[in-house]
Amino acid sequence: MNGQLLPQPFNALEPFASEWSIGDEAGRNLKRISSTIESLREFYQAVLPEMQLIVDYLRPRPLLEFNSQQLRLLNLAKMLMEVAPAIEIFNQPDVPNSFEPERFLIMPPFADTPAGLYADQTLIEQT
Amino acid sequence: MNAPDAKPFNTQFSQLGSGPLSIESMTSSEYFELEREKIFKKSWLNVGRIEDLPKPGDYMVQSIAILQSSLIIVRGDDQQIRAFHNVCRHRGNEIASGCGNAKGFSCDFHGWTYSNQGELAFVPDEGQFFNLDKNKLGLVSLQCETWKGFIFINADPDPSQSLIEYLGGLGDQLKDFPFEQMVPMHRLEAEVNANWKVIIDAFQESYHAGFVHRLTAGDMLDPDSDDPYMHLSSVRLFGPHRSASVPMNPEYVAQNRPAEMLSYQLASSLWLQEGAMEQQFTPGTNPDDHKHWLFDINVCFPNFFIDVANGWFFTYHFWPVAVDKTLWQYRFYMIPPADAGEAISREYSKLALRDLLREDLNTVEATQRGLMSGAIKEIHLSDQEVAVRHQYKVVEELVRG
Ligand code: FES
Ligand SMILES: [Fe+2]
Repeated sequence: MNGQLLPQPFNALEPFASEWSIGDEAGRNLKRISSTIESLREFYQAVLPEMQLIVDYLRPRPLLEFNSQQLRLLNLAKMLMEVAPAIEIFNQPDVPNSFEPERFLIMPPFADTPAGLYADQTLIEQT
Repeated sequence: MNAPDAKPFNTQFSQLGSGPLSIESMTSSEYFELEREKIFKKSWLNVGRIEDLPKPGDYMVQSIAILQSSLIIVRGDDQQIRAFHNVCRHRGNEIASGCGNAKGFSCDFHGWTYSNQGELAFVPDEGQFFNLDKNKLGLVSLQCETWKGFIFINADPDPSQSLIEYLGGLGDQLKDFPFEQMVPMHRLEAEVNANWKVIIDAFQESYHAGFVHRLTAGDMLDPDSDDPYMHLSSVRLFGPHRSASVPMNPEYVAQNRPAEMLSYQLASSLWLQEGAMEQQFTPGTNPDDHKHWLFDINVCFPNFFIDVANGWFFTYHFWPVAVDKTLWQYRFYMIPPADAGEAISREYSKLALRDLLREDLNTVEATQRGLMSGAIKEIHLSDQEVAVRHQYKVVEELVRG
């Protein structure tokens, strides 16, 4: 579809797609902790009610064959999970009284190993 | 269920005593040097899993400060995984860095070249040397063995035990766990300003959960139950290793946490799937068959954990750098998601544990500062901290032995 970032049934979430659909965990965490709690809440309140529909839409499709719109939708759902503790538990973007995020490395599963250099292995982090 | 002031572990392990412990081993640089020589240079140490090196020629270089060594872990063309010192036999230069795939390693200084099985294969201008026996100048190897896909090395050229003998009862307890069915989900790392044992202590008792984790996991404890502090349900000691089982509050529901709740509805991820509390447990877990079992803490002495739960496990490495500095590494493994619902559920599992780990690491730095101040000389341990007591006993015996 022309310029559509998400699959058609999720038109209502389109305004969030470019900013909040992030493909790696470290990126999603950085987005969460560098956002205000207000903007996290706005995102959470928009996406949470759609979560069951997102799962129902994506679940029957083979995970490793998602097109780019479907992958963006999956990453948006993962971003909802990333944002959830900020809203549901902490009432602030980051974990209170916690180890500084700048000193805490979040890496893909095979970082610093030869396995991480092979494309088929990095797919694991994609999904 | 034990009475609130029953002390079952002191009865079970009376040899550990019940008195206060000196903090010397957590703050003394001299003690740290003894640990280097008497523990780390003589123990089997985990350096990864075989899946990290899937193909012949795959290698990774690891600098291990406590061994004062850089090591090359490599799968040779013959499929065998070996460990070598990253040191050229010519004049001692390091020959490899990072990770990758290679037929061999060529030293940047004068071009001596070694095969991926460690043999010295080529010496430029060899005719200028005197009686050089290339067969005797392969890379210096370390003992390297694997168990259930875990790669261990030993810097002692003549270890007193094979890896399987060393693992003993701990290896036996874990031998049926389906490690090979699980894949790593992510990797976390931090340089933490605390003694390696002080950090380990924070991960081998459940006493702190209601305090350090009161926000993230506070609801896992049920103050109205007959187990308000989530006491360990059982503990096992295996030589220098130890294992403890942690139960959960069976009444736990993620109240007012709809996204967390959704993660349990979509799949059996972090904790048991909704409605499946008393399902069959994964083999190699829950040795005392506790009905409300959550996970097992398994400490492979000196610096490696393999904590197992239903359908997932994680490992910690605690690599000592200095008496008050440790490289902490974490890898979280799960059964790979079969569909988007499981992928979304597992995303919550991994980030929930990740957030909780940042609470622990913050605490241990503050603990180390307190210890270094010199204000106190000893610490006081409850029966619930039996694993802490065991660690210091084992370390002390090796250091003074
Ligand atoms: S030190 Fe390696 S070739 Fe000279
Ligand atoms: Fe903890």
